[in-house]
Amino acid sequence: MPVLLAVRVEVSLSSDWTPLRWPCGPLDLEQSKDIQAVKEALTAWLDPKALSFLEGGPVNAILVSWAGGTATDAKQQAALQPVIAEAKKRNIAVLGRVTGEAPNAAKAAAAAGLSAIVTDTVVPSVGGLKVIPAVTPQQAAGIGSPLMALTKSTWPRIPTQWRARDGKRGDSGGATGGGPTGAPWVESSGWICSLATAKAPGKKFWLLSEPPEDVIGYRPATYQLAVADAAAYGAHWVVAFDADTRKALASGGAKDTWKAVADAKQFFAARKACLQRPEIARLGILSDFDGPNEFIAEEMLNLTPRRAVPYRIMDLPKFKPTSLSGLKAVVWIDEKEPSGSARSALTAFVADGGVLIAPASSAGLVSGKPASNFEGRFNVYNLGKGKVAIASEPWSDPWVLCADTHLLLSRKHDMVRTFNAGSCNVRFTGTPGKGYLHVLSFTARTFGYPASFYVAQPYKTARWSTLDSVQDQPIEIKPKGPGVEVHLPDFGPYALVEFGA
Amino acid sequence: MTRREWLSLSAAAAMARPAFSAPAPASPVAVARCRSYGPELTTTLSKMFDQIGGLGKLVAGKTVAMKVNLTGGPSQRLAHVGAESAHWTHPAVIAATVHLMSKAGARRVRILESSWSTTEPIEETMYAANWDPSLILNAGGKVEMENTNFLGQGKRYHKFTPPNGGYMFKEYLLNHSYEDCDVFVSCAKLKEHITTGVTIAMKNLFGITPCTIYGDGAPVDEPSLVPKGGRSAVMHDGRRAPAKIAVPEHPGSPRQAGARIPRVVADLVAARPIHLSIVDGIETMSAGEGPWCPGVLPIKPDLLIVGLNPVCTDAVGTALMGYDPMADRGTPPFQISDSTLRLAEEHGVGTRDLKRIEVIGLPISEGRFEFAKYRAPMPAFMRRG
Repeated sequence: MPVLLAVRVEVSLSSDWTPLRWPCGPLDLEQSKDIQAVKEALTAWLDPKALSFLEGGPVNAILVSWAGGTATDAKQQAALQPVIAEAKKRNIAVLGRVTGEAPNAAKAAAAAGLSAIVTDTVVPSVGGLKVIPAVTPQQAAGIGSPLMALTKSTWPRIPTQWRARDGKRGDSGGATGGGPTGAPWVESSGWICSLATAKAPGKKFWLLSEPPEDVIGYRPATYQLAVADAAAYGAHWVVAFDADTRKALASGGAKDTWKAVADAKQFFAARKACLQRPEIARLGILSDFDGPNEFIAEEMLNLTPRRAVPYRIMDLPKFKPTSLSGLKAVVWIDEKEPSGSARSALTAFVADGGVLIAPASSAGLVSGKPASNFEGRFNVYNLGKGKVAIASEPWSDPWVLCADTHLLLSRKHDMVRTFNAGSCNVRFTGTPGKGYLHVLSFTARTFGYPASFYVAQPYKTARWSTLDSVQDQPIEIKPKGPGVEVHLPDFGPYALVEFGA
Repeated sequence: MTRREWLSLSAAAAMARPAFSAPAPASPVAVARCRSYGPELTTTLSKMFDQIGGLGKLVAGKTVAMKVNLTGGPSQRLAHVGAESAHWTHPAVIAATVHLMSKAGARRVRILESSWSTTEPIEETMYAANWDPSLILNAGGKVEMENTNFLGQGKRYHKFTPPNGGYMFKEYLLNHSYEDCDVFVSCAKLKEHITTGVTIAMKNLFGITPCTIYGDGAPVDEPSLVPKGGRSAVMHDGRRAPAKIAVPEHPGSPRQAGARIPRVVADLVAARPIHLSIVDGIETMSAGEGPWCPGVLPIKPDLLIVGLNPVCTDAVGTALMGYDPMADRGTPPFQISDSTLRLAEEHGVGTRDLKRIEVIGLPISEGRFEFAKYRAPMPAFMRRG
């Protein structure tokens, strides 16, 4: 994929679009898998009448495939004309997805009356056409646009619970194995949204995750989970349906799915303020998240939530000593030893009682004999009131690093603990005296084992809401040690607990 | 019963080791009503220890190893009920015992458990369950904890040999902690068990077998460094042998879990004698040993049981749960299993005959709590057919 570098986008982008991915036409047919239902859905949505289900819903923009840098681009753009015309009549903005090298895409889009293009290639702006860069979190740091679309994303789910179109369990050839985490293997884009926000604070991000076409079994709650997997992390999912649902929507069906998505979008739109709060965490993950450090750093962000450990992402180029405030442990991911102000700040952090976890290549941070050894994988040195744990070998298994980090920090300092929630990820955010616990259940269904959650803050009140039917209801809190527990009744894909002092 | 099961049971009967000719020993068991884990717990336990002869002569100057029951993962709960109020030995019972032992002169108290599928310290497992281990660690003089599901702090695994060649294995390899102690205590929960009928002081020892050797994820030859999974394949079902560092089970041993687990447990309590059994029946659960069992409910029998002989203690416990400790396969609670009590009795560990056991304190008739009356309707997703 061509890398988008520092595109200057001077236009002011509409932040009010709630887009829906609208796949149809020759370009999508060319790029789609050879699945009959997919082909039928792509054909069905080329009919402008299919747009009628959007009437009265939250979606006010459709994202069509505009150019892929192939000979089919012109056919695609021609085929889309009726859809574009109908969308205009309905006051729905049309946005074009541009992938690959397509230098004429912007000009063609402007001429066709599109409102914007979402592109991962360098495209000069044309006329009033807006350009929304499609980026990885790393690329987001250098881009001035107030709105970006995240291309690096995954469909939220527990893969082994899905049935492939060929009837096998799990869409990876029927594999039944769990992940390295012991708990169910969960795929989520939450960390991608968080990393993008850390790289480009204050920017708005769309998440371009699409439902895999080679599996079946999508339910309304599946799509609510997709909404939540972006929204709970401050991003916005570009709504995208599977082929069967698209076909049904085109012919006036799948009303329950459409309503579920609309409700979920509305739910989060009404709670914008609480979605922008910072993590309440005792663990910091400090890296440039790039180059040789990218794999371990990103997998730490991806896997640490499986241990229900909230973390603060600290992007090295933006690092300030105040970033360490309130933390008990920091993982320095990068191969290069800390230097400059980061080194000074980390040294002070350890001297004051913090735990610094660093790779073998950072052995220069310490001298003398280690005070102890941790599981044969870390030499632990006492420094001031704190500790420095230096890995004995280069890191290779991020899950082991996650587990080791959790234990080096110690569960004593857990900010969150979860019970009967092995298939859930949690995000804990807030401001002094106010906490927000976002709980995402990747089974996307009630499961008969009601979950409990502990947060290590002495809150006095709690209210909870779900995407199902619970709206801002008070819920009992039970003091437990330095924090409180809440016992939630069964819920579907998402629950929000709002704590107060 | 299928033909296969019948054949395996016949084979088991044929290979059963000869019973001791002398009657199995009997020992008094103290039973008390205790309605909470508050201050009354320590005074009640203290009185019970005195009733069976006093802690001092058992633990003074000694290293005490205490196996507690923290079965399953720390984040599993029976609905919203904390593990301590359902399937785990309550930390207050552990702490009170530690306190009383230290007061009675114990040199060192070591809390042992094989934490589920991990080498993490027990303290971390406790934190994960929302416990504060410092309440236990600070309850007495020198208090330590060790996860015995792997080699742990030892340099090698230690052999433990049941009498008469054992029912299932000639010998068992265990973490050093079970060797490096003067007094061994089973600090258990009063529970039913989905396979073995009851799990009290004796069944608590099933968890002393390290999963690095006897676990589902144990390698074929040498033990693993980290335990993976539970004990289903090797111990419950006999689908595979333990790591070759351990001797394999006897040829022709039964294949059915209801025959295998009681035999392993009886072997273990004979090979690693229990000097003191403490049973937490204040708050517990019915219908199984953990929240993963169907039909479970939290219950509150308000009972504590203490005894020097684990078979006698379990016999009294079984009776307090509303079952006949002399019952055997086919009769509740042993509908699908052999009686661990009988097998341990036949190993010569102790008697299960209530007529030979002195019950001190609360009479069984007054303390009886019929566990079988408490069954939750199964949720739809658990029903079959």
